[in-house]
Amino acid sequence: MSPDSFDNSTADAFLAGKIAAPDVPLGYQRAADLIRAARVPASPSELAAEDQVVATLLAQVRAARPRTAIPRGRTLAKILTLKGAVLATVIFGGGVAMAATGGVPAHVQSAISAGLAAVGFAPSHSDNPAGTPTPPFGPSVTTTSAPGRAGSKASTGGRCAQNTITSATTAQGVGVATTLPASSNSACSNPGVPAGVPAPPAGSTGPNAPAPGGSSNGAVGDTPSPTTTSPPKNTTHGPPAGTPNGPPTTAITTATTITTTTTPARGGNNGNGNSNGKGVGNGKGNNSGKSAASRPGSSVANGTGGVA
Amino acid sequence: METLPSGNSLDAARAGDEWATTCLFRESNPALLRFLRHHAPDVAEDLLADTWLAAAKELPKFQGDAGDFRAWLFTVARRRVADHYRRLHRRPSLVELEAENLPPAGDRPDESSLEALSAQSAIEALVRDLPPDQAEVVLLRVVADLSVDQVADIMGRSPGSVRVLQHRALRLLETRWTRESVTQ
Repeated sequence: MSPDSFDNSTADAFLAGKIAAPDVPLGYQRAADLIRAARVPASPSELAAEDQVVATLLAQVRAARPRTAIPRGRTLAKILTLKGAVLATVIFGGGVAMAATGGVPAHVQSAISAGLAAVGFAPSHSDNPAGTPTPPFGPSVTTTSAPGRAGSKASTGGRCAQNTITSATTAQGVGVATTLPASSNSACSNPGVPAGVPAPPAGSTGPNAPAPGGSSNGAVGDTPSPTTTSPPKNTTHGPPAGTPNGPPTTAITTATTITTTTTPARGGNNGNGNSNGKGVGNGKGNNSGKSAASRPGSSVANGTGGVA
Repeated sequence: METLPSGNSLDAARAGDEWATTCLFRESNPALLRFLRHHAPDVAEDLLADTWLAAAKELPKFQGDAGDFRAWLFTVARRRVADHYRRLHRRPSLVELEAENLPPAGDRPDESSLEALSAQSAIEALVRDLPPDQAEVVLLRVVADLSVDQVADIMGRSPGSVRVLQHRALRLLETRWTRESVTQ
């Protein structure tokens, strides 16, 4: 074999020490010897650090296994949970938005409302009278609507739901208020409320919050309380002060009943189905809040001192 | 020469098997140490430890077969050498072999002397007159037992370029020892 006859395979075999000594080309004998010497098995000194290196390798491998396996599952679970939450929020929020903007057909809306009411949740309806401009939707759910004569700001300027699902209409005044005034203007969002109107006491309109002195919102005559200060589920508006109260014409509503009462109020009424304004028949009644009314049949006002 | 880690032992080492990890070390460490002693004899053990530390971090997630792992080990070792000399702000120097380990110049070592010749001395005698790139090819081919393609990957060259360097190195070795024989 001449030196120039090293083809690729021969060179590979030569460098790997796989060519037997008799077959090594002339002039390459020494190189072949050195290659063989360079490839001798390991001496003990070359394996001196075996224990340390092996321990390090094992520690790293064993420590890395949980880090590579578990976090993937955790991350996946977190992602799935987050996606589910976002999806639920979008669906629920979209549905609420559609219902709020009237984007849901009436029969669908009714069906949904009935279904929700059956499980204790009573959304408001957003059916507007024809031609009535739709102001921004108020946060109220309790929407007993009955445009009052005197306190009509709330019912005309604001957006009052006419199909009322009473979810927070229990009057728990001191008086014997067993029914809610039909003309109460509860749950009206009042975008037309003049600025600067003092907000009612925070505690007076909250769910189950007692109305001190029997007046929750009704201390101010003709001035509807801004609904922006009211809790979402139990917005109440006080009737005009001194306004004669209309007789309680309607209706004991339950959470499962969708009352479509639109009885006009002759008097200023209570302004709210569940508010108990001063000088108004419901007197010292308290808002019982949604929780009481959400129970079927629980919307009976339990007032003790007021005049219904 | 050591055998390459088998695929099974590499998989077992990745899974944390002690025996397989020991085999992996025994099959790779001598070649790594010889390679590092050639390039940086003063700090070869330190660089070897750094290489194994890097291997320990990489091993659990390493993708490839045993040959790939061996090539990867030498890639890391070369980087450690480069980092070392970068820190020293100077180029790698040739290995300064101890006089007693050098084979006598012009003498063809016989079998007895080859027995006494350490692997490291043989490596240095083999590549001492070669240009650095040719010496590197011979080292990676002989000591690390890597293929042409693997050497090409490590050195950032094409396989053809590596083969050319390898061929030139062999020719240079043949010329040197032929001349030495004639002068004797």
